[in-house]
Amino acid sequence: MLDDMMPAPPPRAGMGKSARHGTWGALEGGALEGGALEGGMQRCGPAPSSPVGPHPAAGAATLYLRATASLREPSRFPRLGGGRKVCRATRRFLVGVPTKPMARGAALIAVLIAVIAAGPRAAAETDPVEVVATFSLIGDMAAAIGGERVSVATIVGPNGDPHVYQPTPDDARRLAAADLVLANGLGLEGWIARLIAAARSDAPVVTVSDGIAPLTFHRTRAHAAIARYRRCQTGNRLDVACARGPLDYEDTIGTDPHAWHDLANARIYVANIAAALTEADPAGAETYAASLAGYQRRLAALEDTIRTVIRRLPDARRVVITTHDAFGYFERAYGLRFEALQSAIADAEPSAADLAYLIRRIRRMRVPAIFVETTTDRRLIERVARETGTRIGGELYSDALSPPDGPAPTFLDMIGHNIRTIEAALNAGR
Amino acid sequence: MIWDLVIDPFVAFGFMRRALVGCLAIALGGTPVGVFLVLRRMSLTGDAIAHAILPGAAVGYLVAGLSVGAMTVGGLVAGLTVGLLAGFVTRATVLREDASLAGFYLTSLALGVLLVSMRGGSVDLMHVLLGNVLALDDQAMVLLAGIATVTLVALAVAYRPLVVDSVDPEYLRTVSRTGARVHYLLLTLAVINLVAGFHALGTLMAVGIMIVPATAARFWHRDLAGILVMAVAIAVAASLTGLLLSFHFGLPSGPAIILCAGGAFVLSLAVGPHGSLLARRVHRRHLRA
Ligand SMILES: [Zn+2]
Repeated sequence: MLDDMMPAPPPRAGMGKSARHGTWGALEGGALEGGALEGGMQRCGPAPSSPVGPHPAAGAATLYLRATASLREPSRFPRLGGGRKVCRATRRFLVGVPTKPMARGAALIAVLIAVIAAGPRAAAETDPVEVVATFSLIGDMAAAIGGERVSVATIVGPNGDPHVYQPTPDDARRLAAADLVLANGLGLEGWIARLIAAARSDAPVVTVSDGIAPLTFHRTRAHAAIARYRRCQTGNRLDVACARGPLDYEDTIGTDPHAWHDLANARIYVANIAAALTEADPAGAETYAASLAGYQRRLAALEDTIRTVIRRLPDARRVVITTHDAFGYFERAYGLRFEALQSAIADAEPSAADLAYLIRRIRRMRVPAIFVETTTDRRLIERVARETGTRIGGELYSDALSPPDGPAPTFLDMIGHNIRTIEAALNAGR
Repeated sequence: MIWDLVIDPFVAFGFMRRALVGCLAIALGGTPVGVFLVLRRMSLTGDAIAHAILPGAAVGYLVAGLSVGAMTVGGLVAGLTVGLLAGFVTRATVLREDASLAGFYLTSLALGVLLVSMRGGSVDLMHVLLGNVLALDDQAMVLLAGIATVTLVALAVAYRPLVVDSVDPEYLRTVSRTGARVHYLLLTLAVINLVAGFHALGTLMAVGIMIVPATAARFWHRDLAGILVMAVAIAVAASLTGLLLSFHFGLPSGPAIILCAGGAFVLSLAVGPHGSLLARRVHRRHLRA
């Protein structure tokens, strides 16, 4: 009994993970906090020169854009409109401008013609606001709030893993042409600072998670549990009351970025997005407010569904096993317990100790089903399912939407799909 | 005590048994091939071929998803193409083997990186490309066992020419065309074993279990048979120890196994009976006396 409850392996020293997190921290502390993300809304103007060097992948784009950067300074045409609209129009033109100095003159003329022809007022009516979202969930929210007034591009698309994305020069071009950049923040997009620096984008970067109560995470739930058992053990004896006590959250290595799984946070996300859109395009304020109100109502309805589903589950079945630790906010908000094979930092390779720990847990708790996540490698969790004789309960979408023909093409669909999948799998065979 | 530390993990957990059997298969098939590579001063060839396999496997994944079959075929095609082309160029032109191999594998690697980034944005590909010894499924197990069997049979059949050619390549080249055939056979065996190892340990770690025990075994025996047996024994011991370290101390399994082999290498280098630091010093003292 005690042997069964006591995982033999000690917690893993933060191999790789803490180092990686250090990089995130550096990025956050440097470019993100000091500049882009914290800076909030900036008016159109020359990009501040960033101390962060360009990423190799975006190197070509950097050269390309640097060659055209001088053209983008508004001081060159100070009286032509003087506002954001002109900047937007010129910027979009210049993204397609060739790099040779010879071509600059031609480009400049083309821009002048365009600006004069379009005129500052006309542009406001026809042009949608160009929004770049870092990953699919935020892109979908922006499209839902903005409707026809915005055109949304997403950097990490459906089924893509935002933790480990490698930006391409194409992304830098899209950023340079954007009027507004929406990022999750909380350390999710470690690559965004370099990308913004490389693209020399002067669009305001809005952190949509601003205002939520962040959750810290520990290496993995497994490691925190192991630490708890060690704390409660003296010699060969285990203090059972202590071992059933709360998990020790001291062993944290950062902020959990997956805040959207708590729909109260999702409400803050869409409110932030609506505010950012309103600032970028004041003429659309009413539209944005109306779609925001509609979206909030649907979020509230969805939240009711989630609470009802979980209330109906018997206590013993309120455990969900997944591949990576993405549901901490869901757990805190709705009281369903989640255990994951991998820490939320997806590139840390699980050890034999992690696997053994999870298998012991599943055997003891008689977990009815295991879930795979669409953005992670599923081989290990399938091994665990085989070994414990547990069913694979289905796919959960945690960090990315599905393609349009999949079961989770929008954020609301995604949350609905997840709760229905969990409900079906945990209720099966009762 | 011993039971709890060594036996119980394998009794209680199927994934540990699978991992051990997978490592045994690589040790039996790959390590002897590694011994011949070391003997022919081709230790780094394994590394080059491993890099050449990676893009092939990546293409297999992009075409057919996470399937053992597609990734194996892709890796085999890329590895064999590079290995055989390099061998051919070496024998047909003035370029030496290491240089031609470098030229081909770097090209292959670049092509792979290009293809992968063009697809981009999906599940992190490096994650997929790094096999995990803890996640071996039935297909991968069958593949590993099959390749180990084929390798052992091939080595047994071609043992004599392999030994002769490895000791004195000029001799076979002058008397027959066997030399070239032996060379290609060895390259082919290296490729298929690295593809097998790729599923279990990831390509780069697979080179480790192939070459490191072979280099360590050199310090323990002079005759080839002795070196072969010793190398396999070191590979098996390193696999077992590495897996147990991963189990008890939470280390990632692949690196733990190779580090154990590396430890055996450093130990052999220091105190092995033949040509090690210690043996040389003792030998010199003998000469002076
Ligand atoms: Zn995640």
